[in-house]
Formats: sequence, C-alpha cells, structure tokens
Amino acid sequence: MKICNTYLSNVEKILEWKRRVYEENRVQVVGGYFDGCAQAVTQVFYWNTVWDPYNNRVYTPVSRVWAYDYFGGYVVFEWDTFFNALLSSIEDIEISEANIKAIPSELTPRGVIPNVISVKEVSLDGSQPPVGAYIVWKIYKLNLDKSLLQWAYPRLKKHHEWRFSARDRNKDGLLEWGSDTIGRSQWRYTLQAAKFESGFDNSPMYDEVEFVREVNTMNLADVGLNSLYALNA
Amino acid sequence: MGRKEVSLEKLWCTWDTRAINAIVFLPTSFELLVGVFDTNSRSYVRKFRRTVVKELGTGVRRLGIRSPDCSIAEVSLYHRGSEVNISFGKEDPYTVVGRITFGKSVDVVLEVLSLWDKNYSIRYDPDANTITTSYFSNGYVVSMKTDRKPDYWGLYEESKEVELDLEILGHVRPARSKGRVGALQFSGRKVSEDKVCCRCFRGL
Repeated sequence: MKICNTYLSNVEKILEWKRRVYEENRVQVVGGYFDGCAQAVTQVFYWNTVWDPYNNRVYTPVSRVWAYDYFGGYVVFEWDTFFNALLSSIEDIEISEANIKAIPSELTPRGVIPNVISVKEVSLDGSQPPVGAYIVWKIYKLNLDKSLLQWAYPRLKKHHEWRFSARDRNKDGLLEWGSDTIGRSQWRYTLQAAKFESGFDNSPMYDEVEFVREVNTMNLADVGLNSLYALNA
Repeated sequence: MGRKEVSLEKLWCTWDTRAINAIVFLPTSFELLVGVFDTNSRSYVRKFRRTVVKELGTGVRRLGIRSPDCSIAEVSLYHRGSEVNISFGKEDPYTVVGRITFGKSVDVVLEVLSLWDKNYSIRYDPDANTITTSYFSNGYVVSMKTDRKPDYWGLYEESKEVELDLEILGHVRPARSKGRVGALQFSGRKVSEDKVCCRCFRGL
C-alpha cells in the first residue's frame, strides 16, 4: 500500500490535474444563447450512465430513479436510448455504441424493438418512432467504424420490415401508430399504447383520434411517423 | 461478471444505478459508497439518487463535473442541513482517489462492499488503516486506505447491520474479524475532510 500512501499525499493535485485536463478537452459552448449548453448535457448524461447487471452492459437510462424505483433495476426506452447514443457521440463514442447495442439487442423474433424493456415491463405490443438507422448512420459518420453498422444493420432491417407489416394493416400505403394484442403490458391494444408508440405519450395531437381494433392502429396516418420511416430507410 | 465492451479507462466509474454517491470497479463489482450519518437524529442515508426533497432535507444537491471515463467526478449531497462534497479522480485505470468534505453535524461512513459478486471477503488492518477486499473467483484484490484513521470501524455481513448499529449505537463496531461489508466512520466533529485511495490489482 505504499503506492496508496503516495497517492493520498497527492489527492488535491490529482483531482486538480484531472479536472483541468477534462475542462481543456471537453466539448464546450461558450457565449451566446447556448452558453454552457454542451457542458450541461454531457455532465448530466455521464452521471446517468450506469452498469446494468441484469444484462451485463453499460447504458444510459432516462434517469437512475426511473430505472431503479419505477422499473425495478433497469429500463431501456427505444428512441430515448437512441437519442442518448447521439448525445454521447459528441464526447464518447464508446458509450454511444453501448447505448446503440442496448436497443436492437432486445429485438423480438417478429421484429419489434419494444417501446420499453425493463425488469417490470416489456412492451411486446409496440415500439417507438423509427430513428435508429439514422442515428447509427450519424455515429458512423463520426468515427467511420463499420463494425457497428455491420452489427446494427440486420437487426434494424428486420425492425424496419416489421413496421410496414404491422402498422399498415389498413393497406393505404401509409403507416399508423398502433399496439398489438400480444405481451402483458397493461396498456396493450389501446389508444394509449398507440400514443406511447408515437413517443408523444400524452400529446393532445391525438385527442380526437380513434383506435381501430380491427387493424391494431390509430385511424391516423401520422406525417411524423411516415417521414421518420422514409428517413430511416 | 462482466467487463463486456468496456475499456480499461472506464472500469472505475459511478456505475451503481441506485447510488450516485458510490464508485464501482467493474470486473469485481467492488463498491466504495459514501454514506452520510446525521448524529443528532441518528439517521443514516447510504443511497442518494434523487434531488433534495424539502420535507426530508435529504438528496443530491448538485451534480458537478463528470468526464465520460470518470477521470474526474464531483457531486454534492445534502442531509438534514449538512452538505457533503465528494470528488473522485483517477490517477491510472486501476487507482481511484477521492476527497470528501463534510460539516460538523454529520459523520461520513465509507462502506466497502460488492454489488453482485458473492465470492469475496473483506478484512481491515487497523494498524495499517487498510481495508482489503479479496475476490476468490478471479484473484482480484482491492485495497482501500484513508489519510486518517477512522473514529470507528466495523465489518458486517450486510449493509443493513451497518445501518442498525448507527441508528442504535451511533457508531459502527468491530464485531467481526472479516465480513462482506466494511465500514469506516469519520466524525464531523473531529475532521471536516477525508481523503481516500482505492487500488485494484491481481494478487491472489
């Protein structure tokens, strides 16, 4: 423990040095309307990045409180986690990739990436907005490492194909948000579950929409959904 | 036990979902957790993850700097009128150092434990002021040392016993020679700062 004695006498210096090195190298927005914005985002983001011992992986939940108190230990929301991957990419690609891999790893045999995956709940009835391929591509453009593309492509493709088979059951050539009958989610096969799939869970945009039980979707071809699907393709 | 796709630089990190006031060494799940004990009310808080709730007067007061690899991490806690500031830094991938500052009405309790590894044992050497955690499944040893000797120390089978002793006796006690949870208690009446060093190596 002689080494520890040496370190203990230099704790102040080590902390000051490490702080300075990071401050000098981190992404920063200085001045203007967005002064301090990047620093705030990364700070909160990395404080929220944790280890999921249930699945042996690093990931960034929406918050520690949600992961532990509300969802029993860990929680992955599909598009939130893709966005987290994008946020991390401004400073740390390794954590971006860990978040990317946390999502399609949950791909079901029929091609759904569930809206929510947690100890307490897995929403097999539906997903969230299709942003994964676009975000994986953006991260690839930052590091030009094809291994993540090669890993993600077959999984995202399968998910992409599921979307049209399950969310255009009225056959009008446009996608609708929906929810299927399968799984054990308390919300499955309801308008609320279809709203959850939109990612805008309680938006008044959908107040006057109806859930069409014959096709498992809203009676609304959402412009946002169809645009994201086209972008993702 | 996992290290899947985590670089060497990130093995020491604030990985514990339940506690923002803790640092974990990943291959072993060794955890150093900074608990806060209010001596007046004898209330002990060992897991901070929510912001301060006014009615309870306990929580995370401020998130400070936190680099992606946890080379530097600073957080402020609050418990019944007292602030506790924690800074962690890494000199190398296997060594983490920390500085904890705290007020007079609280004690800081450094808890040493393992999050999910079951095959380990903890010992404390009062003369060397070193707490050693040995992992029998992979040969890892994590040694922790503080710059001052604790006012009280104890080894326990589980953290709940630490909490009970603090609430009933007001301090931890050396009832065992080895255990699965180690606790070093520093009185805020005597010191306002403590420094800590944890070093991991393969030694068994």
